Amino acid sequence: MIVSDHGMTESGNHGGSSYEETDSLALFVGAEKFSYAPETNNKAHQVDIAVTLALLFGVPIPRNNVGTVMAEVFSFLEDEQKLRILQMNSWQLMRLLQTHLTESGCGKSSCVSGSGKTGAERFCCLYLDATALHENYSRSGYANDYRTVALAYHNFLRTATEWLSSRATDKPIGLLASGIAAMLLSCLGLMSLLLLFNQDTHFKNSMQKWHLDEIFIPAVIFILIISMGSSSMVEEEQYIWHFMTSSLYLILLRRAIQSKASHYHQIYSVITVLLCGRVLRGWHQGGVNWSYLPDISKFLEQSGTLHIKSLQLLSTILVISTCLLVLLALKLRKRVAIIFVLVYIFPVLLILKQIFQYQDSIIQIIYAVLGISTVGIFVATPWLMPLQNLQTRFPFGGIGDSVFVIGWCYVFSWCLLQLILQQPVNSMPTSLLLMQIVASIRFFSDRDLHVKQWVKVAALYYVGMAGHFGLGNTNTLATIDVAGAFVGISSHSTIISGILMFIITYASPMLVLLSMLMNVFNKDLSAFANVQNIDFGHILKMILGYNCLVPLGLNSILLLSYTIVLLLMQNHLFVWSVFSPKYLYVCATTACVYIGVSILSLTTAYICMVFGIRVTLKRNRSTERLPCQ
Amino acid sequence: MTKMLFLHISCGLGLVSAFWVAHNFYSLTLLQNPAKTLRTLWAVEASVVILLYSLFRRNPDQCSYLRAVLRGLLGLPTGAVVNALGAIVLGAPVGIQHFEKTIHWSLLMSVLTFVPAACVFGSCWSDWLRVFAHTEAIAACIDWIICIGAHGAVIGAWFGAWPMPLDWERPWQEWPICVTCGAIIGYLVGLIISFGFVVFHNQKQRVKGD
Repeated sequence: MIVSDHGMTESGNHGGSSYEETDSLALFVGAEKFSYAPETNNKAHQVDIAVTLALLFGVPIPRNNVGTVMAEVFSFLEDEQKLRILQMNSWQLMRLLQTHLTESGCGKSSCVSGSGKTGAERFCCLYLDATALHENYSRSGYANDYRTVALAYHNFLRTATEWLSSRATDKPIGLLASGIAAMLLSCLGLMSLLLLFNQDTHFKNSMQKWHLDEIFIPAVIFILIISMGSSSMVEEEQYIWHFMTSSLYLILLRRAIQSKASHYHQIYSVITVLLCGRVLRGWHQGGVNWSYLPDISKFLEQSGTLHIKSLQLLSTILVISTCLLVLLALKLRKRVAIIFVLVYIFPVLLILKQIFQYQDSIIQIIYAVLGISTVGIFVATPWLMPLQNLQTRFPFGGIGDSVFVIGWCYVFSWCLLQLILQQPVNSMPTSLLLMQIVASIRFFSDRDLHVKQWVKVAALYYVGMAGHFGLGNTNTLATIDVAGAFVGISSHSTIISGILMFIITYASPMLVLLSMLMNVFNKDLSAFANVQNIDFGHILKMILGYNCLVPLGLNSILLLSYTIVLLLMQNHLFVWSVFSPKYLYVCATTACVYIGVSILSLTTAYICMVFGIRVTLKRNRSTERLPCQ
Repeated sequence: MTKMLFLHISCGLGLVSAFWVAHNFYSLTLLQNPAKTLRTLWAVEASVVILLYSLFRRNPDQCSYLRAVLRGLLGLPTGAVVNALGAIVLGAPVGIQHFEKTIHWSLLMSVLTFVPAACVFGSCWSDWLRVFAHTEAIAACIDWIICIGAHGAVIGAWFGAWPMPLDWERPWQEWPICVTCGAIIGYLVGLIISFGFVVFHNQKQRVKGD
């Protein structure tokens, strides 16, 4: 048997629902001559292939089959055997019908008059008619009766398959509509919040000209949505993200050159982002159609474990030194900085040991130590950080410092965790991604460029999405690293493995969301705090506003538009192989964004709360002292 | 005015005649021999562009025609490096089998974007910034022509890359065929727009003069 997967239009498009694209070839070649099958006009439905093949091979018919057997294929058999095949098909369909229709089994009494029956009864009668005729035929064996029996069976099969097929494509329209309405509402709500927030923060110069990078951010989303309508663009989505993100950073590079105030270090930062992005793109070919082409990961796997190990070591060192440099650049008090370094010495040493010698027990210790130190820094930093920033002398600059340090700690811990969990080949992409993020934040930290805050956040989000594919993920479920989900687990647990799988797959978007805390700068916060007073509401708004709203908004647009795309593509040939897995990824990305955003808001709320307590304590103390003096 | 018309027409005709030369003399097509066709294309177009744009050089008293031609010749490989780096950053394939194609493509892009500016401005960084980054308002006609043509080629090439990930398995989807087509179409559209702009600009000045 020879079958083609799909047809094609004249222009080369395939996979749509036009006649040319859905029409494909099925050719049965047998030793026997098909006696009465005419050579033309042999049309069959796709659902009929499964049952026909099952019967040809002599295996049971699949339980959920809704097709009918292609009788022409079995024309070489004796009459008795042909009827047997029809009988088996009918019996299977009858069982499937009974699972759909809850009414109990067939009673013979009701099948007297043929017309005016609905639902289960009708199928029952047709089925019983056919079986009764078949029994008669087996007893008497008149050749003339064969036609009647076959006709009765075909009659039942046709009605049953029509009903079952329409049932399979039946959709609860009310539920779908309300779901889409809810998504639309949340999307509109987020967008209007973003607009309001934008007006709130830029009320002075609302009529300013839009820069190219500000126009390009929505254009990225628009182009992405347009290309999601094509199945091959969904399969090769990594190209789109990389292309758009690199274009965005090229535009930012142009802007940095344009600006007279720009420094060389900014241009170097953008070039670092671009180069790291290109290496990330070349690390895994990804996609479906060109996944066989050579790439860096395949080259490394061929060249042996020694190269991979040394690269893993190099990327660990890169991660550590990048994080150290970031911490040093903050210019904290020496004692404070040393505490942070000391906290991380133990897990780092364990990870280095683990690279040389893999041990399950060590990994469990690493999980525990990383968790404890992250939580410890999160809890302790707001209490220990001096209220005033040393360098800039901003009153309450400690809030910005705490936010930055906790963000740094999240990013560092997350990267170290990824170095253990990801495949050894992926350790370098992890460190490249970290460098991209750090370079971006360094680029954005200069206020002379006047890059808008929402552009910064969106650019980081795009880097995260491009990095998601750079770590070897695709829109098929095959690239999910199942083996990594069992790293360091001694007993099987579906929930823990699921969490680990999620951590591995969404390493990059999560890293970006966590790094948003480092994207808050003291200078922006200083306007809302002076020596006497501190406006926590505004500070919370400044820290969380864009950092939460932009990822949420972008993600809600993507979720809504992709849901609509999926509904439009419901008759597409690749709806199960391409669009549905992609939808699962879109849903998981939504979950990732919500988790990241809640971590951000929890952290910031906690820091503000602690500083509030500290400020009131300090005030109380000074008022207590005043009378004594 | 007639000089500008001549410049536009000969730049456009240069590309068309380069295709004609490649097809009729060497029997090359972009689909079958992309590298060799691109070589013919940039060689023909480069001679047209360098010779013509050198006529419009900045400060013609201080800078001889020969020197402007030389600047254009120097600008050709420099611009090729910039264009090649840009393309690679955006995802152009890196590898020995693509090396020749990338070189010839970036030389062609250099002719369309970089060389005219090199002929006219030389190494004056502020002029380059003004034309390509719009740091100041552009006044002269020739600046607009260089700016619009170069932007047309780059934007055309950017859009030309879009069909590449589709799985249509057509020969023109290979690097750098559709990108070249996009760049050439973008450049020609840019020429038309810039000519329209020059006509508009002249009329406006005449009205002002009256």
